[in-house]
Amino acid sequence: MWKFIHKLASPPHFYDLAAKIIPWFAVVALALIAYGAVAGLFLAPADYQQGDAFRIIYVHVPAAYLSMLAYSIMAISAGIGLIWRMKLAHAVAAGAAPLGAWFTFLALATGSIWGRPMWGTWWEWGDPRLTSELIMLFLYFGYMALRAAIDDTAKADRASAVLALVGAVNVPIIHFSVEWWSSLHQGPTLVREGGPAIEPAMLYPLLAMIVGFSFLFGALLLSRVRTEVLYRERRARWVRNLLLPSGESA
Amino acid sequence: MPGLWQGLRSIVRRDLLLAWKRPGDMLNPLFFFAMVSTLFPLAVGPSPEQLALSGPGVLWVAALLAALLSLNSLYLSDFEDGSLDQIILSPQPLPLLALGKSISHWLISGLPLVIASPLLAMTFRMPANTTAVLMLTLTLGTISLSLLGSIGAALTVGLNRGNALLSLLILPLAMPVLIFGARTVSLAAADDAVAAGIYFLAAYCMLALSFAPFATAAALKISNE
Amino acid sequence: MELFAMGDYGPYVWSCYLLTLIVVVISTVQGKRRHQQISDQVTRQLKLKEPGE
Repeated sequence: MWKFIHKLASPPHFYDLAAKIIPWFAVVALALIAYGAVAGLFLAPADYQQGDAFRIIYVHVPAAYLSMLAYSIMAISAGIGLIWRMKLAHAVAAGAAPLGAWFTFLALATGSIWGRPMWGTWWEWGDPRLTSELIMLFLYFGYMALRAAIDDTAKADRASAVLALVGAVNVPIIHFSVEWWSSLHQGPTLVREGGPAIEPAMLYPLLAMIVGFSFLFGALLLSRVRTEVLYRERRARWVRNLLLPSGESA
Repeated sequence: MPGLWQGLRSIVRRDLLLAWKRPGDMLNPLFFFAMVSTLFPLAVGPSPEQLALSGPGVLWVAALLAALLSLNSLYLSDFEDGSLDQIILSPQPLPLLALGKSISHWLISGLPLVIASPLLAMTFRMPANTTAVLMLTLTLGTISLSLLGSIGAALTVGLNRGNALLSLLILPLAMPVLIFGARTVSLAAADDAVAAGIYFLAAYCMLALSFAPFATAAALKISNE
Repeated sequence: MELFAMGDYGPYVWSCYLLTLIVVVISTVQGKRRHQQISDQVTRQLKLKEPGE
């Protein structure tokens, strides 16, 4: 088992293994998302309170969940890279960040669009989740901006790792702060997901979407990490053998 | 070899002496704070209800921005004249020295804001008990900002256009402070219970105190190589 | 068609799904493009070194 992990941490092995895994992840993702979307849009019954608008849940929740998953992956791999000096870990953190930012943006956009018919406004500062997502977007931007500002890759890795870890401590605090703040308002009711007892016909598509998007995220992440690895290892022999033998590229 | 307390005192003293020679370090944030706080009523209009309502928020945002601006120079001059190397190589533990720099930063840029706040609070027609809460929250908040801000300052020292980046990095860290600080003062203005907010700010401050110096030290070592 | 109207919430629901599709497509394409770019860049640099060896 340790040997497998040890092998995995070696860039060329990772590069090849990831290439094999990605198509499978993509296929599973496509199947689950196709089922989830169709069932969520057309088969699940309309919500008693929100009508058909609740169907946005099937894209909003996966997006929000992925935004947080990506941040966790980013922070954990950054920490591993910082403490154990694993190059591959830093590559994972670097790859996760832009994906996380995209899904955070998607969560915010779908959340805002969902909010319009529900709250009557495009933005509701009192909603703790929306505000925490916004702050998480800033965390992602900060991380990516810091990386971009430092030329030396190793230095950028370590500096951004410190930032990611500090941010990770902060995310739950931010969420709690905004929740406290909004609980003091006599504000509009928060968007309830699904209804008092979420029935199977509503639940299964949601689970399918969440799992499906996770596989999609996995595929996208693995492919971005492959790119990172290729760049970081550009001077290594295995890369030269890969790209040059008969002029073929990866 | 001097003890920890000596080490802390000497770096604080050094920074205070340097700041004495550069009054701008203290005056700039102060002026900025005053400026934003007075421009706002000018722009929004003198209606007393509006002023009273917006007072806590405006004063808090102004203080936050002033603190953010002052963080840029925290390590900049040390970096430029090479003393940062000395600080990092010093036999004293680096987190201790980072703590010392945060302390002196607060004394120079944060404490003056707290002291000036009652005067500015008057322009927002803030009653005395609310002003007291304002001062307390600002104290806790600016201390937290000096601690957390030094992490960002350490990460961006020596980078081109580090200023904008610094603000972006610190913003998420500063949000809970802003939210709780401003909201607690608003509660005080409405004669509601402020204990919860104060406790949170104090807890956040303690948290910052316990991990920020270490994060700053790590960041300094990384940035300075 | 009524199915697509989603009881008046149509524009909201469909714009969300469309946006999701767009974001997924863009992030995928972006990733692939970057991989190709890096691959080309590295290949070029390796080829530059070849003649000298």
